[in-house]
Amino acid sequence: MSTFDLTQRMAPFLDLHLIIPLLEFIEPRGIYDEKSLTEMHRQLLTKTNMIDSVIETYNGKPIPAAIEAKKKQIIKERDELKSKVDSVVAILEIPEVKEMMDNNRERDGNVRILEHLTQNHNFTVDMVDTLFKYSKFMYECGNYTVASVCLYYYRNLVNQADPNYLNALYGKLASEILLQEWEHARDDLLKLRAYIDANPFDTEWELVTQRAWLMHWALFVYYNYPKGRDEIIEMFLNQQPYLNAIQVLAPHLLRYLAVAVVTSKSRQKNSLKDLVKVIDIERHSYKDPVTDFLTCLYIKYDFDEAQEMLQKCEEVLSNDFFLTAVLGDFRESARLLIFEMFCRIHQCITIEMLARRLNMSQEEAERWIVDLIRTYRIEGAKIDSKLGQVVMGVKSVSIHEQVMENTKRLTLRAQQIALQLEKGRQDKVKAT
Amino acid sequence: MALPKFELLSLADNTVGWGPLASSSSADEPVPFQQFNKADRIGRVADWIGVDRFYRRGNERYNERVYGSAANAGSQFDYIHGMDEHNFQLVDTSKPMARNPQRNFRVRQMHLRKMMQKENEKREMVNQSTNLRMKRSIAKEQQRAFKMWQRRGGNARQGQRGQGGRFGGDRPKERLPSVQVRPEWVVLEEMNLSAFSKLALPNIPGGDDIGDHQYGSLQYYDKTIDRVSVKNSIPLQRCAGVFYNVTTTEDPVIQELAQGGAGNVFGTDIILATLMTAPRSVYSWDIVAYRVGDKLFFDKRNTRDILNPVETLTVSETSAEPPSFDGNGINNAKDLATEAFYINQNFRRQVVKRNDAGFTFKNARAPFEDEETGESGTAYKYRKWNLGNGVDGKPVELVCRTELDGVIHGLGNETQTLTIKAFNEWDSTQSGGVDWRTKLDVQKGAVMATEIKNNSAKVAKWTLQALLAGSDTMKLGYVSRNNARSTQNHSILLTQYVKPTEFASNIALNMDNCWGILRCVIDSCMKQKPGKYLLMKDPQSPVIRLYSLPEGTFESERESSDEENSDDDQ
Repeated sequence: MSTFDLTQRMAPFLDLHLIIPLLEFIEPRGIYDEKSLTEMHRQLLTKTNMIDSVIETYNGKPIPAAIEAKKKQIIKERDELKSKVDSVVAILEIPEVKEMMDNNRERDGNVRILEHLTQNHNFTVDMVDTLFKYSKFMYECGNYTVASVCLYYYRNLVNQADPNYLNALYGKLASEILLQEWEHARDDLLKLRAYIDANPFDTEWELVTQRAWLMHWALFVYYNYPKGRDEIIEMFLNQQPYLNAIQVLAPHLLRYLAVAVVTSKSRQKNSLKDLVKVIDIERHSYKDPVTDFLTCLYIKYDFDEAQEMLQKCEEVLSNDFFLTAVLGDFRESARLLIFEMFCRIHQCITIEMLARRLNMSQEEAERWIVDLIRTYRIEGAKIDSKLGQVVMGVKSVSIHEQVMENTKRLTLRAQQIALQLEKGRQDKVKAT
Repeated sequence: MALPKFELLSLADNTVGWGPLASSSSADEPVPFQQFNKADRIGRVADWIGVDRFYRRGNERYNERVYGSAANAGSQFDYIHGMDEHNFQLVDTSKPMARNPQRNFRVRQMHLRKMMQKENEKREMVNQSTNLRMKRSIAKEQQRAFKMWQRRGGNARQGQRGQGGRFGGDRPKERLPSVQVRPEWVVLEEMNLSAFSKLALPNIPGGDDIGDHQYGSLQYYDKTIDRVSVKNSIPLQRCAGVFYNVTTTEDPVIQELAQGGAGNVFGTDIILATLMTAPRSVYSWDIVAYRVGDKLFFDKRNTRDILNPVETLTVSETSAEPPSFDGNGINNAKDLATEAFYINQNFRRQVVKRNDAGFTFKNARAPFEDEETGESGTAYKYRKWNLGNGVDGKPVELVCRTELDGVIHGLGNETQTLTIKAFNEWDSTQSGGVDWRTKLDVQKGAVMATEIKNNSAKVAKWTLQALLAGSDTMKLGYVSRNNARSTQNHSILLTQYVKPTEFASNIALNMDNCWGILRCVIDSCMKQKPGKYLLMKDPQSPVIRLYSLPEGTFESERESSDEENSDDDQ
């Protein structure tokens, strides 16, 4: 049951605060030992500053004294940082300064804003560092709104060559994800991606590592943002550097790529062939019911095994943090893929067998096929209720239609030639 | 059934920021990582050509997609060559030998040997008796030896030409000298033509006509010829007439002027023009110089059948690919020169009104013009220039016989003198020029510029002849073959008139430079003792050499020159 859970494989690529929602998701699933899961949850929370959440995990048991002491320490530290940062935020909240940051589009805009603040508002370089520390502290406390605003200010003041610039990009993206502001999160994701693709790193390995982290964080955004699945296909499959990062560091991301391709309506036809190739190449390093489903359907052509894999897929997707919301879409699209492949091979199919293939009852299968024929206008398909069969009629084009199709272009061409000759004759008459 | 335990084995605990930690790559630092494509074919493991070429050519499918940026792909393990100077060092440390000292050494050695030989000959001559009969016998022996040498020389030239034809494709074609240099000719001086370009003798006024020495009658120019064009061309007719090429020392007028002390340097216009335009010439030519008393005569070496190189109308001499002297066919250099000569003579006579009354100078006929053969249609004026002081401190006074080809009525109905010349078009695909029949009417300037470039020496001579004669106008004709493969029929496509002074500016002909060159040559000849000398242009390099000729050289030709004094074309 927990064999195909990816939480443990994805944890090394995520921030602590991003792992917490994953843990909260799988606790009610009942696929792990509850005691160890609770203990791990408490350990994660202990590493952050969210002491109230830590206290909640004890569930009525006596709370250790160290936690109480840490709570006092955090409150004291927060008061110190806030007293420092209030003067900074007061300067940055000036409408004039806000307008400058909102209109910051140029390459050296950060330098100009900083110079303006230094000359007119007694701004110092220490204030920037204070702002960053305060952002990190508030993020650790779980106040993602304040962290997001402060990091926005920070990003508009610091040069791109600053060591903390990349931290600020990741931090703001994490804040927006945890606030579930998907529009802003997508913008921050694109900024972070543009920065990484510019390759400011020392080694190729660091670049690949950064890309792997970026793709994991992108799952939060793209599986909640409308049309996000198309962007997953574009980023994970069509970009060679990112596909290489998947193959080298994170082959488990193929599940999310596969689900995106299967459930995408606009890009499924084009991307499915490429996806099957990638899955075939990576079978030695990663397998799960989703990739096996596609392998059985398009490589082995084994409909029985594909049907088994489809049932396993439903179980796997229902326990996946990112994919549980698209389970219905995936089931529908997967059945359609089976139906299309099946109907290409067979001419006469009993509804009973089709119901077994699609994991439906016979009455449901018949209704589903009727809706399918009506919705997708499958030509030539008919249902014989008496015999309980679907008849796939091969639509043959009559001879007359073929002749008309071939001569249609001929008629157009003849008209063009006649027009050209008439024009030539007119020019000749005009010349004389 | 016990559920499995949940353990997070590795976590990225970033306490100072967000994102991956830098330590994650330290473990893999010793092994460099390079992006790659798992779908790459195994044949590209060792790719020496470079991934650019392969991947650009392939389609955009997954298997053949460009991996990463082309500039970055495969660059991780590239070999970088150190660019410092210590990688290589020069092994050959010998100094290259200078070629000029060797050439000078060889020339000086040859010069010394010739002087010693001459000294020995003089000593032997003194030892012999002074009997007159023996002198005549010696002279006869010399003549016989000269004839035998000439026959052998002709064979050698013929053989050399054949050999050149046989191996023409292997080595660059060498130009032949205009006359075979004999061993006893002593090189007195070498004049570099590149140094000639810097000479200048300014402020030489126009020449003065000498007394009544103007001979001949000229016909008026037919202005209807000016209406000719490519579409409206007229065939070139064969006009009968006589052509005189009397050289300086055989001209009775020159002899009279020399005896009368009219000057101390004498020549004809074509001879002087050849000297003045020496830097432009490519082919070899030679001019005989006589020092008699204190006077200098520039003469043409008489040739029996062929035109003298001085007055040959060369065709495409200065083009990038001049026609070859080897081989047969109508397009070798000598036949082209003959064709150009006939075209010019026929053109000159066709464009004047031969049946109308003409213009007669003070003397209707030159003394060397034969009454029986008819008139030449050319007028001769004897003119004089003062070229400053010579090497001996005496003034250099030049006397020259100049020619005119016709007269024309000017705007005020006064009579103006003409010099009439013609360009001729041969196969335009071989000559590198433009096709006249398609370009001449619409791009006259381009055609003229091409002809000026391809015939730089000839055009310069024409202009100098007009300037020396004091001609008012030059008429230039464009005559083309009716068929590129036949020299029998031609057509006049266009006529054009230019002022000689303006035309000289157009072709970058500087009169000060021309006078300077002529004066330099005169000074070199005047320094020599009375005798016979030869000025010859080297065929391979831009050098003119002054040779000392022994007595009797070219003497046998002098006796028969009177018979061939006039040539009748057609």
